[in-house]
Amino acid sequence: MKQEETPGELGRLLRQAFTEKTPPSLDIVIMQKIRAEEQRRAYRRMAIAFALKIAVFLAAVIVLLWPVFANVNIAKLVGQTPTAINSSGDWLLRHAVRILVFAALLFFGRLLFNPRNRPYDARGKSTSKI
Amino acid sequence: MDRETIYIRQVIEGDLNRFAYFVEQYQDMAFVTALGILGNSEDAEEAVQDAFMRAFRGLSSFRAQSKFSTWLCRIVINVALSRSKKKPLSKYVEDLDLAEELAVDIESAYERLNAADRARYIRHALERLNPEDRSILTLYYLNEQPIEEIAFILENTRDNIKMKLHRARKKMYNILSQELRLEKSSI
Repeated sequence: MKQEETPGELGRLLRQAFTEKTPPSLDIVIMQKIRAEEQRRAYRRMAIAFALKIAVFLAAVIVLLWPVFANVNIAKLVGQTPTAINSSGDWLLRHAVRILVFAALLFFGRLLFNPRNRPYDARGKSTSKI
Repeated sequence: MDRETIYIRQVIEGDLNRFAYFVEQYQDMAFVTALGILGNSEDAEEAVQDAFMRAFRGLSSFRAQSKFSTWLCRIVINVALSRSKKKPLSKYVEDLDLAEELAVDIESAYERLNAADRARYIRHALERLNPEDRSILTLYYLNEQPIEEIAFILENTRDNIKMKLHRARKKMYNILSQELRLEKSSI
């Protein structure tokens, strides 16, 4: 062991000292961890998307139900006088706005929460390309 | 476009299995690097796992200014250094003039040691170096990486790395000289 020893010699000594081999299952462990992380990310993305949809849906409910709660003049809306509507006995006409709102919510809800849009199928298997 | 760039793009686009190529290809390099800095295989294994996770998370920020292996090596070094700071191995040697004149007769003392003892001495000497010196020696001697790449990994100039390498080597020899002298006097 001289001070002037060549770099190659120190390299050889170091390599002799560090003889540990890479654990054989290291790559498997790393890939398992990465897959688990990606799965967690996918769930997080799904939860955020779901929360956003709920928020949008609630906003839609408020906007669509506004005419009902705000006592909008239905008669004016359908171009009739209130007396004519009340006396007509036309159930459909009297409930026109409510029916429209209900239909709109159904349509909107179906659009937002369509199960086919979910990245996981009924068995919990991912259908998205992760 | 080389194969690795294509694979990186595929991983970013969601093909997770492509990342296995990088793990398989560079796990040995990452393990040796972490082992040189941390000194034991358990910590090195955890550091490598952590480094690959970070590489995976940050893959979209990889700008291909360097090779993937160089970029990964930088991550491994950072992870290993932060781990070694949490768990200091031993008192680092900073004094360069230490045992400057003690090289005489050290060779014979070293030759008398068996392989296990030699390894123990070398590892102990490396542990007593500060983390930066350990990183440089590990990258240069264990990983056999060129000075330019080490300079890029450690974000330093080529000349600076050369100088630091020289100083680290000298410190290493001094520590070894001191320890082997103590060994010799105890026989």
